[in-house]
Amino acid sequence: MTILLAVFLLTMLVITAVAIVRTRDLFAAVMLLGIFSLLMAANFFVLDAADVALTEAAVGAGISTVLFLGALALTAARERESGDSRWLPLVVVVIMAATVVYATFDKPALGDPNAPVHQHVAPWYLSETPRLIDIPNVVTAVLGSYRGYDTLGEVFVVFTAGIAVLFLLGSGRPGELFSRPPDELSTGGLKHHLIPRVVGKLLIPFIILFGLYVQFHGEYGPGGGFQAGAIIAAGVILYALLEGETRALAALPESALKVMVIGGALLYTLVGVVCMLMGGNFLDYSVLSTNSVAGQQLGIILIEAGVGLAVTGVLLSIFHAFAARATA
Amino acid sequence: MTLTAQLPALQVVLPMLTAPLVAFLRLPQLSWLATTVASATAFGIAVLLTQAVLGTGTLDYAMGGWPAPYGIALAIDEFGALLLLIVTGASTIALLAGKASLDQQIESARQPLFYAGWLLALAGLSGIVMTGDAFNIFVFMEISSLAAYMLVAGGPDRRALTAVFKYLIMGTVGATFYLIGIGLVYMMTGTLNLADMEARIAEVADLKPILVAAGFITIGLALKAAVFPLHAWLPNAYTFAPHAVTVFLAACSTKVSLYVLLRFDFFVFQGNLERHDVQFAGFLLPLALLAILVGSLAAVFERNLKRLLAYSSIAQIGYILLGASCVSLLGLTAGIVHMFNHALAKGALFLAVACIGVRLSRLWVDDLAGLARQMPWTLAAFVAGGLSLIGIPGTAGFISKWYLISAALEQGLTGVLTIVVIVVSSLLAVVYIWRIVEVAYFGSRDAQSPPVSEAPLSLLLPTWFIVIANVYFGLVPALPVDLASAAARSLLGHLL
Amino acid sequence: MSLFLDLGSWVLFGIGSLLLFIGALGVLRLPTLFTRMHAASLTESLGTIAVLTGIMLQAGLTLATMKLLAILLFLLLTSPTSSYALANAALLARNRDQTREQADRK
Repeated sequence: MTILLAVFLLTMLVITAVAIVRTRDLFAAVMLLGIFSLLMAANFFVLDAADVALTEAAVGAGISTVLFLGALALTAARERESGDSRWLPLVVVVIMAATVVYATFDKPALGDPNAPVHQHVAPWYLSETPRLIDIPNVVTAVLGSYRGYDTLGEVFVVFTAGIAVLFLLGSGRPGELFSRPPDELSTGGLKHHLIPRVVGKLLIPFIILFGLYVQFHGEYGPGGGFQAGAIIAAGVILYALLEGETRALAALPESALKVMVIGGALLYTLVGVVCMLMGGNFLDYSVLSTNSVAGQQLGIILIEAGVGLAVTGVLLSIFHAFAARATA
Repeated sequence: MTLTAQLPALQVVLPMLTAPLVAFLRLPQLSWLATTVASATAFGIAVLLTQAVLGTGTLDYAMGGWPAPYGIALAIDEFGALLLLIVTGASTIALLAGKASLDQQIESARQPLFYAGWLLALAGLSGIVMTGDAFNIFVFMEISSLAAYMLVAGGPDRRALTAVFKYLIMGTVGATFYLIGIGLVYMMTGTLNLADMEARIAEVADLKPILVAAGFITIGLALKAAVFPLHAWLPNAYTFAPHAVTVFLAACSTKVSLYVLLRFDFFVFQGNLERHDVQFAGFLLPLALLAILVGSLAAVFERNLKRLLAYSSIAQIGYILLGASCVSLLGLTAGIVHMFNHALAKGALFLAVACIGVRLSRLWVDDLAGLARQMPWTLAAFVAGGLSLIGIPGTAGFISKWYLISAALEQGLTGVLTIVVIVVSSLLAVVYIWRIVEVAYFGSRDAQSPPVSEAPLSLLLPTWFIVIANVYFGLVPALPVDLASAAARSLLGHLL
Repeated sequence: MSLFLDLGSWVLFGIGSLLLFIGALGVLRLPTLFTRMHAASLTESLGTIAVLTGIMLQAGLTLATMKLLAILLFLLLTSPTSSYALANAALLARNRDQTREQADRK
């Protein structure tokens, strides 16, 4: 039954991908990309990767669609016909696809308990986590502690992306994230549309609440800072779309965003540095408390907070930078 | 825990920690100062690490205190130490020298963000070099690539944006290929740690996913390293980047990808895949030779100064690969030494270009006519860098060519072909460097064009420092050669 | 008792699926955007209510049912709103096209 569902989703995925490649209408391509992400998220869920599914749905279908639309507001909505032949790229892609298919011939069956991935480090994570870190969601333990250095890197990937967008689209004034939209233009939003505004106002508090739940529930169920950051950012972006840029910036001003971006990245790194100062290795949370298990839990909560802050701040800064450019 | 034991972590954490602090400073001058201090400190750490590696061998560091296959381990050997010296050294020199040039090319308001991006690129590149974990390489590759795109896009010419878009697409494809390869290897071995991977891959080495993974990883990294014929993104990216960024990236970014390529191929695949050494050589040797010839030829006919040097870089990447594709001790030593020496030679040349760029807005070869009279020191530095690039005895470039030819001599018939190519391309290098020298020294400057003065001292001093380093490492090549031969031994050790 | 619950839930599943199927058919077969939206939005609301209620009957009085209730509530709020936004956007686009046509005719 699961296989049937997976095959159906994958087929839809292929159809969507072909449609994205073929369309010349960039607006339609963006919408199709959103659908692609939702299908992908469903796929991840079928594969029991709930954490990844949550991220894909929030970031892929939610935030990146908004950012693509923000970029479209700055460019043309139709792709120009290019004179280049499409045959060479097609041949390359077909060869690549054939190679990947060839690779799957010797691959262990899906869900095979004897597959190497289930035989080497995974059993250790499953058996040792209750003793060493004692949180139910082993995924969070892996991301937050065992491979915390990777997660730190990912936060800095997000941070770098934010810096790059602000560098290219920013206000050009030192210490300012993005240019403020002129008041008369930014009153926009959907002021005159009662239904979306009322419904939006009803929903936004729940979205933010759900984001906080995902943030703090990450140790017990699917979730964590990345997903929470994306969800909270999505809530605020919805507010900005309904009520206009100015109101959104009044609710969460630029200075707060700046604190979130810098503070989030610094918080994560500094937790690692404090571990060093207290005699452990970088990001060795065990030394944070006299009880090493409590130290690990404290460390994970702190770094997840850093992740959530940084992701929310960066995503919102990027959104505002695009929006300010579009209205200017 | 002593401070020395923490140095491997600090190498990456220091620039990472400084980046958010620098990003939103209101004073551009202060952000430059903080960035330079952080970069110089990182260089200091790299020197200390090199000393430690030379003294005691490979340094290991367990991130988060977790043992290797479960957590992420850093592993710095001689090869890594050499690359760390190149990365942090290039960043520091480019920052010290680039102040005047960057002030001209980047609006002061955007400078804090620019320097934050610089620190992130530095952190990313050092992170790739230090780590012993395949996925961690990918994470830091993302950081360094994103930061590099941003740095290149900072160029004043609007064509920088199209150049960077191409760079971004190609770079992303390369990184994705690498990730697909890692995914396949992980599927078959269940581990991401490179050392552990080497041990576990032996059982499954002849299965299809591993073969495909080897292909994907090699091609992905070759794309990032601008190995011919995957070099299309490089010339324009180097041409339109701010001059200081070109100095930094040209000296180290492609070399870090080559470093990962060599480490992956030799550590993980060489010892385990059947006949991998022959395939590796058979695949890369023709590409290396073509890269050398095509790159040099393109440079001969190119009229834009920076693009000319960029094409020359493609040829030089060919030299590095040529050494590696010999799969012998001498060959690998030659390739790795050339990483260091090319960084020195190209660093000196691009620094001289930055000197000229401060005074001239257009950088076509014709624009340099008669410039040697107005900027004697700059042009002298350019000539010295050019000599090192060509490989004149007494310069660093000679050392690597010497090792390359010795390595080729061991190879028999293909070796002869290799030597012919090296000699031809050295002659081509003479041609393209001479074209510039001829114009600058013997051309006469337009009467109408405004007078040009010598580049500021803040730029000239670092430029000449690198020029002198070229000569020094040409006469006393012990440090890079020792590191490189130790690196080659440890790479080949996995073949035995 | 459980037989009745099962029966009820299956009837609801059937109704829901049928409604959603008709809606999909309408989206494919009806001629204009507005008629298609009409087909989609009406059947979607009732179909979702039926299917979700069917699952609730299966789940009984558990936490899952509460979650399903919350999902139902949010769907009932958002799907008409998105239909409204879509129709509104279409109307705006049509108005814009018409003014452009008028301008062209002049």
